[in-house]
Amino acid sequence: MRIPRRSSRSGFTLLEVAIVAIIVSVVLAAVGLFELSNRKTLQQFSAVGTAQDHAHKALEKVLTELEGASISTLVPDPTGALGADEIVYQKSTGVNSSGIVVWSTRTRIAMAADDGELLNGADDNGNGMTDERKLSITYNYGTGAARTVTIAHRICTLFPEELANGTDDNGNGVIDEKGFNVQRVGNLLSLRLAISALGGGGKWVTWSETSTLRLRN
Amino acid sequence: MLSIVAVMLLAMSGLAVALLRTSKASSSLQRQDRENAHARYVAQAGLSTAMFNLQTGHSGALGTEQTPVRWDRSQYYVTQQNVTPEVIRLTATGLDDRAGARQELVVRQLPNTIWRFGAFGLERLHLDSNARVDSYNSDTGTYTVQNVNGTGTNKHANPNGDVGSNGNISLDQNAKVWGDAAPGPSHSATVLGNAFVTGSTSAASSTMVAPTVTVPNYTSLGPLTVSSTTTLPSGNRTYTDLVVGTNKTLNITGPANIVISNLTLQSGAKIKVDATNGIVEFWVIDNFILNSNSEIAPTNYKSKNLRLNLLSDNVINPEMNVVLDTVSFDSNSKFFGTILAPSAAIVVNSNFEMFGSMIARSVDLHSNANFHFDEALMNATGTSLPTFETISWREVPYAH
Repeated sequence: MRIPRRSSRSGFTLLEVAIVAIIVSVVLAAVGLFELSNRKTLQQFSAVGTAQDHAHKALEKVLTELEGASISTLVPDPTGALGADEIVYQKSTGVNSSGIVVWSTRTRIAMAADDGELLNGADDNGNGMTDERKLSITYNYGTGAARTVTIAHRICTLFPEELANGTDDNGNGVIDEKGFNVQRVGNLLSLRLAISALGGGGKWVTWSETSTLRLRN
Repeated sequence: MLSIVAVMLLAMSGLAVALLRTSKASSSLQRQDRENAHARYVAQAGLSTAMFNLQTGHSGALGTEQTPVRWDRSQYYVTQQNVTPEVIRLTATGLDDRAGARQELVVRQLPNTIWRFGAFGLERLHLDSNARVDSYNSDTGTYTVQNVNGTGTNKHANPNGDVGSNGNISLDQNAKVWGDAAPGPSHSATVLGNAFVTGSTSAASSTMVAPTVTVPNYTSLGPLTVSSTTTLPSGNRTYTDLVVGTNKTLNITGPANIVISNLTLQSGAKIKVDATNGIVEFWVIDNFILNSNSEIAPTNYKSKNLRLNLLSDNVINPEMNVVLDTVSFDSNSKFFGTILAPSAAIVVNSNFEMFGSMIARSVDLHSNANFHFDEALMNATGTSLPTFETISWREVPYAH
């Protein structure tokens, strides 16, 4: 009896390949549709992440800067219900041989109109935001050696849920606070920062952070 | 077919390597951040431990660079340097794996006495225009001998006439403080116009807690009116009312403790304390009236020899119906000693002159009032543990 020999040309049949191709196409189509439907959501997530990252890094920088500031050198001293949206301070550079503290030159943390923007109620730089600010640190403030470093862009005009109406709309204890605000209670300094980033569909998203530090000097 | 598979494998391997490198770099950065933060915390822990040691009378130095102190998986060491006899610099280095951080804390040891200020208001302190505070040392001579610095209205003795408060401090035009003006923590000092403070106006790092005044109980001798020069021997006694008549003098020989319900010195009257054998301490419970040109002083004019405890309460408390006491420091009067009045709002009239130290609930120095803090009061030794105030903190760049 002869047993039929299997063909030496092994592989997929045309039918098998066709089936796989159809399955792969269906899966790819599903993924594509899913991707398309979630693109906007993903962009939103990405924008929130960007704003969060920028706000976190900027606030951390400000916290590090202000930790060694002396209460007696704060100008303005942000003790009122309005806090302050800029602050000038000096830090200890140590003590001299008589035990007297030697203070640094003044440093200023303040907001200004963001690059290409004017504070005129219009979107001058065409990025979709109106009157957005940037946050900068100026070392040797008030001297010829002043040096300014920008640490964050797209700072909001006002803190989320706050209106410029003389009341504390968002109930955080500060009245009409701007996108950057400093408030002092005793030797504790509260910092607030709100930053925007462009999300899907040209929609801006905002991330705000609040932190408190204990002034050491 | 094999070549296609090989190319695919190669591409996938390349992608995997790139992914691994990215992941490793990110992980390395995160680890570096974490270690830096940890090193800062450990340095802070070192400083806290060093301060605890200082406050319990030990050295602030902990470990060395070669043999640091272990802190879980991290390490720290703290060096101590005495910048001046009172000022100590602590430098803590925290180490965590490959990261390091360094912080410097400079503290000043406070004299072990509450008598560190010319005037201290537990709630607030105010100097009217031309009120002045400076210092002298009664152990080295009289104020007049030491009042040789500056000229004209700026003539003064020593520049250690600190004033302080647990609340705010305010100086009106032309008020002068040759020393520090230390408001309470989170409070401020306001210095108007030409007024000046030669020292610091930084807020104190802690509040002053006034000691509780406990009145001793002695047999009452009733009222005493001094209408001619009178001398009281040493000993302890209580009077209901003590009045020293106009231009009359009451001499008191120490040691003596004297409790008085109401003390009045009429115009030009004097109480002279002979502290050769011991100091004299007064407790005045209700009214204290020092009329113009009167004087209370030790015969040797050393303020450490005379203590006045005023229990008078002349502050309206809206929750209580009380008869307010009268506390009066009239113009041109003089007082040599220490005054502790934790319940009294003291208003010192113009041209009153104080030599020593005053602590009251609140202090208002009217124009031309002169306070001369006696530095000798700081030399009194105490038995409690040392206390420190922070004068500087900073991060110091760390280098191996």
